[in-house]
Amino acid sequence: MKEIFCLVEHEEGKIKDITLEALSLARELQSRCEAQLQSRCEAQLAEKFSLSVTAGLFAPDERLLSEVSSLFDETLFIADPLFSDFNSESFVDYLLWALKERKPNFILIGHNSFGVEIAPYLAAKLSYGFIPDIIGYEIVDSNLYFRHEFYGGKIIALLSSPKERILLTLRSGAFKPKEIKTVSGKVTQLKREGFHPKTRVLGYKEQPTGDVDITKADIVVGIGRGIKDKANLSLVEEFAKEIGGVIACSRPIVDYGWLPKDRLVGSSGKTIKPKIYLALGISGAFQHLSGVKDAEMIIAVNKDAEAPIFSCAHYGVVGDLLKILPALKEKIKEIKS
Amino acid sequence: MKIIVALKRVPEFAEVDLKIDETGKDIRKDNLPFTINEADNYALEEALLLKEKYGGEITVLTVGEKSADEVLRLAMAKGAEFAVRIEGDYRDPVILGFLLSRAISEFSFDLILCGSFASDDGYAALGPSLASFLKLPFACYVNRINFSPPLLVIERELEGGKIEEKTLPLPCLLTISTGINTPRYASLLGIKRSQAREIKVLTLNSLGTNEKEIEEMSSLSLAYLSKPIREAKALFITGSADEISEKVAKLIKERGLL
Repeated sequence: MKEIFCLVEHEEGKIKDITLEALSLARELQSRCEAQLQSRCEAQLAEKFSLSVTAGLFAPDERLLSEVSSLFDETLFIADPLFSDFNSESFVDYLLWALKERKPNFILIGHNSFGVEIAPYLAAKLSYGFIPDIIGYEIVDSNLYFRHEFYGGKIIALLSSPKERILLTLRSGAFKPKEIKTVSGKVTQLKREGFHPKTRVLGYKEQPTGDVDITKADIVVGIGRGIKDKANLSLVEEFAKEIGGVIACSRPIVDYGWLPKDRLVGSSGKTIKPKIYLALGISGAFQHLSGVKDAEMIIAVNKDAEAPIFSCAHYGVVGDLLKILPALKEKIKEIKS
Repeated sequence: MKIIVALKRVPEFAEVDLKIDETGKDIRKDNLPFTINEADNYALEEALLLKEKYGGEITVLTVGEKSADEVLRLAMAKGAEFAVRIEGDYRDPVILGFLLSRAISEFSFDLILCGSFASDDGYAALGPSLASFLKLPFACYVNRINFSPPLLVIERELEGGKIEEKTLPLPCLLTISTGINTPRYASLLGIKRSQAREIKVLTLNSLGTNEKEIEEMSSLSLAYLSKPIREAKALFITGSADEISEKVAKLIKERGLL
């Protein structure tokens, strides 16, 4: 039997969205493969080669077991206090041990701070094909290809693997969970003792919020690499003051130390839903877009007409923000008076 | 502390409309400036800071053609002692991890630093791949390092601004997030001096491997590149700066927010 294995990610007793997204992709691949097999061979044979969608649930207790086993055809369940925190070292070691013999055809893991540690290590150790951060797939002449972004989303690469067995990491939000069918899946409980990780998680903490809470503002003025120079910040500050908005930013601005981290919008920062988001000189890498996609109106200014931000923005201006901003400030002033 | 830093030379492409070349498998790079990958630059700076604090030496490594020497020289201009280039144009993160592990197995070291991801291919995979070949403990997306002998106490970035605090023994490998420090610029004198420095060049042969073994290790292959098809494209506002401002101001006013 063939198998698609999904690593279950959970937090505070809840299955994370990324796992449901992985399940949804797995079910899609399952039905595609089965349709293809059935058209090729006898039904009996197809049965033999049918795909099973398996979950790996590694958790400190049984809390999630019944929920997971109602979603997946089979659940590999390991209960161990080791999994009360997300130390990738323990996960990797147990995964290697649990999957070595099973050799699933696909392994699906989220492309996030957890999966990014586990997946490449596992792929190299298992000699699997490895396609990271996939955002979609295509089947051409019964070959399976996966879409992945190069150059911050400006180019799409179509990737495949020469290996028969492949580990994929999934971009979060790229595979929308469809209607999920419930099953009465089999549970296989595994036991293992004697693993002592060399690394240790001491704890978790939240990023402190400073004097401005960007998640509460109606108008947010977001700045990115296109601002060019720290000296231009004053221009943006004056503009933000005139329009009555707060300043937020994309990753490079925090990295340069021009704004504190509590102003960061995106996957490693905050998610905001303002009434108006002005994206100035922000190219729109997915990490940033994931934090603003629910803004009511996005107006983007960027020099590059092909910048990904324009796929998310409602209105776009192709041009130099340093020229447009002073003019816009004057117009706002006029309207207000 | 003996530190190894893996570096990559990448094109700069912010605010550039990239074009795909005639092979369909690469972008046109003839007019693009090249530089050290951003996250690698932060990793290099972190190595320099650790060396300043605890002493030691830094070896920088890259995989690439001769043109990649420029990032090694830049690193030496900033203070790296030794530089090694593995000859060849490889992009598969598993192959890169294997090649670097072979080169590194000749050194003694305490710490390996990599950038958390490369701006060009965005795989974010080299660090853990390399760690697996060297059987090293590792952590990714690190944005703070404290050395509290014999352990490293690090902080790494999770989603939504959450931080994980973790300890690792030495030797280990870390992938470094952008923003962990403020990378220095190389001095002109340093750059000048670095031109005469030795770069050790290793080949597949000197690493005890060959094309066939590398080929068999291949984990992914690129079919072709395309420009993204953008759905729900923005409505573009055109005109002079003044006309654009007029229209944008109107949009904002219509939302009743002024």
